[in-house]
Amino acid sequence: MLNRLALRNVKGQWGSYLLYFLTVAFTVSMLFAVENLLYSKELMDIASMLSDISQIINLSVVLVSIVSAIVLGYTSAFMVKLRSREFGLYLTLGMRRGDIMRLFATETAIISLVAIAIGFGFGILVYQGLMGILLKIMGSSYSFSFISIKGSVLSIVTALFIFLVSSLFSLRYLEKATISSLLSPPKSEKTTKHIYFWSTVLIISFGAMVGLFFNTYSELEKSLSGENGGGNVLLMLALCLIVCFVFHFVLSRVLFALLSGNRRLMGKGSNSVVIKNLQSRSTSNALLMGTLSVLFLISVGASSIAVTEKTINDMDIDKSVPYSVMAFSQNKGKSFFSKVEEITEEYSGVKSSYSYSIYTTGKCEVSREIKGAKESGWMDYYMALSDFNALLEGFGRKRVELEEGEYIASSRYREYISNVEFPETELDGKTYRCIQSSFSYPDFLNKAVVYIVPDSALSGMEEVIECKVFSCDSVPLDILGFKDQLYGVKEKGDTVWSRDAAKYESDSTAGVLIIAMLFISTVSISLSLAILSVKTLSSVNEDKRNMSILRSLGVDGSGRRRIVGTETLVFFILPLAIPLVLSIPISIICAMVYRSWGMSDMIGSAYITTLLIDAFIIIISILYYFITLRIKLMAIDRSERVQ
Amino acid sequence: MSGILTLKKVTKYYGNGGSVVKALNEVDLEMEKGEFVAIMGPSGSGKSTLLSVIATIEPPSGGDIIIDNKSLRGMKEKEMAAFRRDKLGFVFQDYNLLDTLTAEENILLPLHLQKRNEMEKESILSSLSLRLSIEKLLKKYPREMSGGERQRTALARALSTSPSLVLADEPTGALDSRNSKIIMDLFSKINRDMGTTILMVTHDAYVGSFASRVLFLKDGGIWNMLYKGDRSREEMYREILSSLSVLGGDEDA
Repeated sequence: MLNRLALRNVKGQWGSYLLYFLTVAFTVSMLFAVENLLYSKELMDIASMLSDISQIINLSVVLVSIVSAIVLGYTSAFMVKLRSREFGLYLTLGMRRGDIMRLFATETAIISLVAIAIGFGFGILVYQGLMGILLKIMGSSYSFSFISIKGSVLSIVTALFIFLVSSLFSLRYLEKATISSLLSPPKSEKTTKHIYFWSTVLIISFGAMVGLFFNTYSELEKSLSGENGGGNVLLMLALCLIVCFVFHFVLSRVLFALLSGNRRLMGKGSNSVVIKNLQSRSTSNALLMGTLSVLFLISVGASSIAVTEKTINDMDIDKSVPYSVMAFSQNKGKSFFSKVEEITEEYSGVKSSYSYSIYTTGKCEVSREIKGAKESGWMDYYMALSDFNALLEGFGRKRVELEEGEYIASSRYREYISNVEFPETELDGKTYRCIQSSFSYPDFLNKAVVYIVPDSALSGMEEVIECKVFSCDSVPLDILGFKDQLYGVKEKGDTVWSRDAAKYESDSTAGVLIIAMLFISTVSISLSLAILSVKTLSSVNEDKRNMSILRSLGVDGSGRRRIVGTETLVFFILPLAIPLVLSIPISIICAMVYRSWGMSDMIGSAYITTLLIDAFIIIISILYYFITLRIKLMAIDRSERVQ
Repeated sequence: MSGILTLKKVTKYYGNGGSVVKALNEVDLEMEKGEFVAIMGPSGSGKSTLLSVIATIEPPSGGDIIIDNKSLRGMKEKEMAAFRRDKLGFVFQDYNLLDTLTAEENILLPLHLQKRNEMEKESILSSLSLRLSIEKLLKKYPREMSGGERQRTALARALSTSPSLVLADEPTGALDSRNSKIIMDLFSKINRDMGTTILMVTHDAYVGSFASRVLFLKDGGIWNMLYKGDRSREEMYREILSSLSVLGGDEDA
C-alpha cells in the first residue's frame, strides 16, 4: 500500500518535485562527466606523464561532491517543509512514523532514481563536450570518447552516497518532529538585533576586501618577480574568500534592516512590504548568502585563472621553445645533430636549420649581480649578435642593434633580471656596458641568462655549447613517439627540445586545469542558482497569503506581480552582485600577470575574458530567475483563482 | 441616512456542466450609510459568498452591486483594485496581518498605497491607535501580539483609509469570549462615533446582537431580517437565537 501511495504522490506532485528532480539530474550528469574524464583513456595517457592532473581532477570531484551534498540536502529539506502538513495529517490519521519515513524515502528514491538515470544520459553528452574541449585545447581533433566502466560506476556510487547522506537529515527530522510542528510549522521570522555592531563589521569587512585586493596584487607581483614564493598569494586568496563570506553574511543581516529605517523609502507604495519581506528572508538565510557569494566568486576567479593560465602557457611555449626542434651539445660531436636531423626529417620534415654556438669567459663576473648566481656556480654565457639576429629573423622578430661596448642581458625568467644592475665588463680588452635587460626575447639557449654581444667581443672566449635549431614543415602525428626518439639519441651533455612535445604537455596540463576550473565554475554557478531557486520557492505559501492580503488592500495584479518579481530579483542579486563586481580587480590582477610575462598586448584580453565570464553568469542567472519567478507567479495565480 | 450599498438580484453559481451549485439566489439588499448589519445563517447558506461578492473578491454570476453610487458591473481589474483600496476595509477571522511588518507598518500600508503625505499618515495612525488602545503595540510584530491585539490592529488597518464600507468576516471567530467582547465593543464604538458603515458575517448570536440589523440567509437567499430598534442587546440576542432555531429547524415542524 505504501508503495502505491508513494507512486501516486510522486505522480500528483510532479510540479513540486520538479526543482529537486532537475537539481539531482544536473548534479549526477556533472559527476558522471568528471568521473569518466578522470578515467578516460586520453587522460590516462597524459596522466602517465603528469602526475598533477589526477590530483586536480580528484580535487574537483571532491569539491563537486561537497557542493552537491549541500545542495541536495537543501532541496531535500525543502521537500519535507513543503509537505510537512501532509505528513502531519498522515500521523493524525494513525499512520506510524516509520511508515511515513518509508513513504518519504520511497518517493524521493523514485524521483532520485529517475533523475539519476536521466542525469546518466545527459552526463554522456556533457562528457563528450568536456572531452571535445580538452582535445581541442590539446590540439587534437574531436573523436567520440567511450565512457569508462569504472568512471560510470564511481559516479553512480558517489551520487547514491550523496543522496543517502542528504536524505538522512530529512528522515531524521521526520523521525523527531511533533505532529503540531508538522501541521503548523513554526514561522521563523527573524529580525536583526545589534544593528550598529553588524554595520561596523560590514564596513570593516568591506575595507578588508579592498585591502586584500591590494595585498594580493602586491604579493602576486612579488611572486612573479621571484621575490617570494607563492605561499603568501594562496593565503591572500583564502582570506579573500573568507572576507567575502563574512561581508555577505553581514550584508544579508544588515542591508534591509538599514533600509527599513528610512521612513521616506518605506512610505512609498508597497516598498515596506518588499523591504520587510527581504529583511526577513535574507536574515534567515545569511549563512546561505555568504556561502553562495563564495561559490560565485570561485566561479568568476577560477574561470579567469584558467583562461589566463592557458594564454600564458601558449605564449610561454613561443618564448621557451621558439623553433620546432632545438638541439644543444657540449660534447663537440656532430653525430648527435645529424641523428636529431634524421629523426626530425622522418617525423616532420625539415624546412630549414641554423647552427650557432655559445661562448663563455669561464667566470661569473656579470651574472654575480643575480641573486644566488655566484653561490650556484654560474658562468657568464655569451652569444654573437649575428646569430641572435639570424634567429630572431627566422622567428619573425625585428633585429637588434648593438654598438661596440654594448651588451644585452636576455632571459625568459623575469626573476633573474628584474631589478638587477648588470655591471660593466671587460671583453677582448674593451669595456662593455649593459644597455638593456629583457625577458621578452625568445630563449635560444637552455641557460638562465645569456648576454648578447657584438661578434668581435667573442674573441678570446671558449666555445662551450654547439646549437642547432630546425624549422619543420608539419606537426608530427605521433608526438610522444617523436619525443621518445629524440630523447633516445641524447647522451650526457646533450639537450634536445621539441616544441610540439612541449606544447602537447603544456596544453594537456592547461587543458585539464581549464576543464577542472570551468567544471567547478559551472557546477558552482548552477548549483548556487538552484539553491536560490529552491529557497525562493520554499516561501511560496507565505507569498500566496501575502498576495491575498495585498489584493484585499487594493493592490492590483500587476502591482502584486511587481512585488513578487522585485523580491525575487533582489534575493537573486544579493549574493551575486559583489562577486561580479570583484571580477574587475580579478581582471586587473590577470592583466598584471600578463604584463609580468611581457605580454602587454594581451592586457585587453584579460578584461574581455572576465567580461565574457560575467556575461555568461548573468545570462544563466537571468534564466534561473525567470523560471523561478514564473513557477512562483503560476502558483500564486492558481491559488487566487481557487479563492 | 443615505444608501451606501445596493444589491440587485445578485446571483452566484459555482461549478459547471452537470455539477452546478447556486450559492446566491437573486439577492436584493439595501444598506444605509452608518448602518451596522450582520449576516447570519447555517453553513452553506451563502454568507461568506455574499461577503466575497460585495468585497469584489468574487465576481457575481448575475445582478448588480452598487457601493457608494458606483456600480461594480463591468469594472476592470485595475479599477476594482483602486476601489478596494479607497472604498472598502476588511477584517478577517485570521486577522490577515503581514507577518514581516510591525503593527504600525501594517496600519500605514493602505495609506502608503494611497500616497498620502507624512503628516496625514501620522495623524491617522495616532488617532486610530489611541481609539483602539494599541498605541503601545505599534512597534510589535504580529507574532508578538495576542489574538485580540492582532484583531484590533487589523481593525485599525481597515479603518485607516476611512472606507465607505467595512466588511468583517467572522471577526471574533479566532478569539476567546473576553477578546470577542472587546472587539465587538470597538465595532459598536466606531459605528456610533465615526459613523462607519459595517457589514459583518457571523455565526455567533452574541456577536450578531451588536448589530442594528441582522439578515438571515438560507439556501442563498434572504430568509428573514431583524431590526434592533429600541431593543437591548440581550433582547436582540434572544430574538436572534429564536430565529436561528427556526432557521435551522425541520421543514415539517
